Amino acid sequence: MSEIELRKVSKRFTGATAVKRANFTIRDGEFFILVGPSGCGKSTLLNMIVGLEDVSEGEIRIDGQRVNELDPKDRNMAMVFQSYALYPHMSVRENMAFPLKLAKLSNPEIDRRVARAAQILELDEYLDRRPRALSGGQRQRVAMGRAIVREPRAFLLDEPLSNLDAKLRVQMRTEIARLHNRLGTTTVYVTHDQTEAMTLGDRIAVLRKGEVLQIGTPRELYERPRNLFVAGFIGSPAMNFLPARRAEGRRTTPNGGGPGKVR
Amino acid sequence: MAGGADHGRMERWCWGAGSVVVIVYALIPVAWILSLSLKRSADLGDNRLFPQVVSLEHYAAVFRDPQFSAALWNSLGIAGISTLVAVLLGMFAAYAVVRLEFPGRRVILAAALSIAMFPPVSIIGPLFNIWRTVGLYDTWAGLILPYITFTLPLAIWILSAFFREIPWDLDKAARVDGATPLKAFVFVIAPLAAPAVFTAAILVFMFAWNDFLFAISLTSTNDARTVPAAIAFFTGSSRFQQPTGSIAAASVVVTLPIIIVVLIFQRRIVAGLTAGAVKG
Repeated sequence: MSEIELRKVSKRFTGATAVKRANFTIRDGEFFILVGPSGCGKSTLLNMIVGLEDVSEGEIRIDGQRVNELDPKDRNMAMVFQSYALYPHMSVRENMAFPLKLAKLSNPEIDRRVARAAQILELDEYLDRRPRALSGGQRQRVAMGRAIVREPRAFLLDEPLSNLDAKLRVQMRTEIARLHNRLGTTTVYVTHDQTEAMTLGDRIAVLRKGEVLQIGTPRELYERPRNLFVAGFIGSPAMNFLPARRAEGRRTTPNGGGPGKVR
Repeated sequence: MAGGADHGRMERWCWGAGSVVVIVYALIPVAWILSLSLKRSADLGDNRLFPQVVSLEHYAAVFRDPQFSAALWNSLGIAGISTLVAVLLGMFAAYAVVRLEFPGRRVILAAALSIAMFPPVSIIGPLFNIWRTVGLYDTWAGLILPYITFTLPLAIWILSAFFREIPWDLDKAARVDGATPLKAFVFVIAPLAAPAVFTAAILVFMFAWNDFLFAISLTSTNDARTVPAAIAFFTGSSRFQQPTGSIAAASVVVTLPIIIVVLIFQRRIVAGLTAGAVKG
């Protein structure tokens, strides 16, 4: 449970700026989505929050405490990677127990938590299998399991569904939403898929080229996009754009479309 | 499709014949030395491939010789320690070269390669004098040091090629899961790199085990003389007799550990342990 606050956070790689002065707060228990086309800096932003990338400028605060200099292991956040990043030499059980062993929990406590996570994610039967013996959806669930056993301050998900087939993706989407409702943990979710963003998020941040263009609830983004990019990115089928001219409080379109009031 | 079947049979026959030629070519000297080692002293010059009477007298003689047992012990110790140190250092170096961004990491790999290519014979003279001055001459350390120096580049190359194949996400996942960089390496990366570690270990071990040049130049007594050098000091039972049988027996004895090591580890060398780490 925690609030994540980004204060004018920038990330520069040699010669290029990946994130420009991102400035927003992710509220406690919120399901927050970072969405944008590839290369827009959303994964970089996530990596900075979890501590895998240094912050070039600005400040990240978790529950009011500056974490810029904190090592990832001390931030107590859990991350699900696009590739799942399961440890191939460990069984499902060992994969999920790994963060708990590092946290030096007692063995009965580890067993209890792994059993509970396995039950939530319906992985009971697969606990002794190696990741290579699992299907894509099962691997994805193990990755989720490894995240939830820790009861972390926040979940960070980096395009967790993009390696699944279309049907499974919809199913796992529902499961992630259910999981969030059940656990109520602050979740930051990175995706390039606007459907996922619109269906899962409490609030969405739309990014382009490292800049946060708009932050709002799905409905706000849909009904009141701040610019053409957000308008075109959100919604399926895509929004139609017509060139128009504004004159004397009325707008006219070249094809003579009906006049309307300018908002 | 008779022609097709003929073609297939012909192809298989050619592969088979080719394999036999290669195997015979490679193993005839080995068979020969094995046969020599099993012949009686009197039969050594009988021009036969198979010994008339199998006798273990040369093996018995070799193991009676205190020089050989000492050399065997030296060989095992020196090669073992060199392997351990070279592989351990190689793992850390390779991991750093692959995972860390620091100026000159390409230079390090290139420099390592150039050391591996460096002809050892060109430094033997100076090394001999330096070792005598600093007191490393005729000691285990005096051989272990050059062995590590010349095998470390190879170990780094093998291991860094393998580390590059291990998805970086695994390091990151371990770090987020609460591991220090060292723990991430020990619990996640090192187990996955096991096949490469064994490959590197075997190559380093073989270099140290088979080396003659350093061993003959930098040792003078049983304190550190290894088997390849010791064999050169074998003498016949009288000064009119060639030590052919003993040399053959000793050669077979020193070949065995290598064969055993390779047989034990060959299954572990098979890569593919990383399957399932990422999608696909």
